[in-house]
Amino acid sequence: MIEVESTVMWIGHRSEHSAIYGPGLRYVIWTQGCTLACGGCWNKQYWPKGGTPVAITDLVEEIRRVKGIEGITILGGEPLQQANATLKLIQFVKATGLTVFLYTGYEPKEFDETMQACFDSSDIVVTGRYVESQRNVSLRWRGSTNQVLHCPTGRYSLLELNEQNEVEIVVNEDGTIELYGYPDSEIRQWIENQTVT
Amino acid sequence: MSTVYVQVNLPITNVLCLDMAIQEAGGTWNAPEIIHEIRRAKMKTATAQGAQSLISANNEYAELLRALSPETIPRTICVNIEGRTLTFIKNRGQYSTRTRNGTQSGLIGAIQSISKLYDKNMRLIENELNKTIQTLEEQKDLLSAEQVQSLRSVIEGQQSTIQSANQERVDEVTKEIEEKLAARGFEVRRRMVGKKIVYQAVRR
Repeated sequence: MIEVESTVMWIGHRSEHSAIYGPGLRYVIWTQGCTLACGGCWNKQYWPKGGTPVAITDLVEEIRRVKGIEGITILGGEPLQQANATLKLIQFVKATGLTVFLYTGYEPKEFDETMQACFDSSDIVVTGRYVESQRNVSLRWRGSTNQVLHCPTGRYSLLELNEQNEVEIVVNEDGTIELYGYPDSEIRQWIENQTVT
Repeated sequence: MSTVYVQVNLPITNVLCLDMAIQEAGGTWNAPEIIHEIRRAKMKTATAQGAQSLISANNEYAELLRALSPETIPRTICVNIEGRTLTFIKNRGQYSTRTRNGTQSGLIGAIQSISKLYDKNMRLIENELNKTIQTLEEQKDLLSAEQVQSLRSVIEGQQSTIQSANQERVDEVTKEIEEKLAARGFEVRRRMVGKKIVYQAVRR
């Protein structure tokens, strides 16, 4: 039995139905807190510690209630700077039959034991820092060419991967906009100019 | 030598909040006649004496709120503030203008304070709406059918001012998104997630 009680994950943002962070529709979690500080990182708001503390039990309950998803994606922030919570989340989610896609800015050679366990139990992992000089928006699921895709469990195959540029734009009920994925600079600029009220 | 301009924006999800915010910031604007009528009608609801007078004031207020559609709001407005007149143009669900950077920090500060007051007034209007709903719930057995109906009309009117402005903004934004993505060679899939519109754009 998996022990999930009393473990808390610090979260910056969640999206229930995204189609661009892995195969199929996915529940996406941006963890809060990252000290890697990659130059040109687009998610700087998730660097500082803090965010919302969510018990893993509550999080998995919430994920279970979402219909029609193939799995979850964990990004950040840096999920492996909360490796214990991330590992428990991965184990529990895998036990429900959903798949797990994990993003980390660490290289495998930097992993400790818990980080390695997170890697080994995830179905797809992207590893490596975001390197601004190697930014490439035509890659699927990665931001720069140095980042590497792995399929540790064999549930997916890299052969199925078609490189393509993906962007997701959410228009909320009040007309405010959220932008996800790997937009080119013009789209990014345009969205940033949409002052959110 | 080049001149740098900054863009300043005024939110208009609820134009009544914008009206209140401009006034509170010490400014004036060329508000359309319906805004003046709404100001007067709202005043009447606050000062009405007796049930019939209040019903009549509420009905008048509600009718004006329902008439306040995005089409009744001008595309261009002039705001007088800090001794200057700025012309704003309605675009992407907000009023925008450009002004020279650096030389008018007081002016930009005043515009920013309008935006802050706007947020405060939005909360105020939401509270007012919730209070009206609560009053209706608590007193529905004590009020006459006519009184209940007039309160319901006010609630619907307040909700419709927000919803119609939101819808206009959503329409503008989605049209622009679809055009921009198509022009950049993306294949676009549109789906609804609850009340949200989600565009998944792929470029191979």
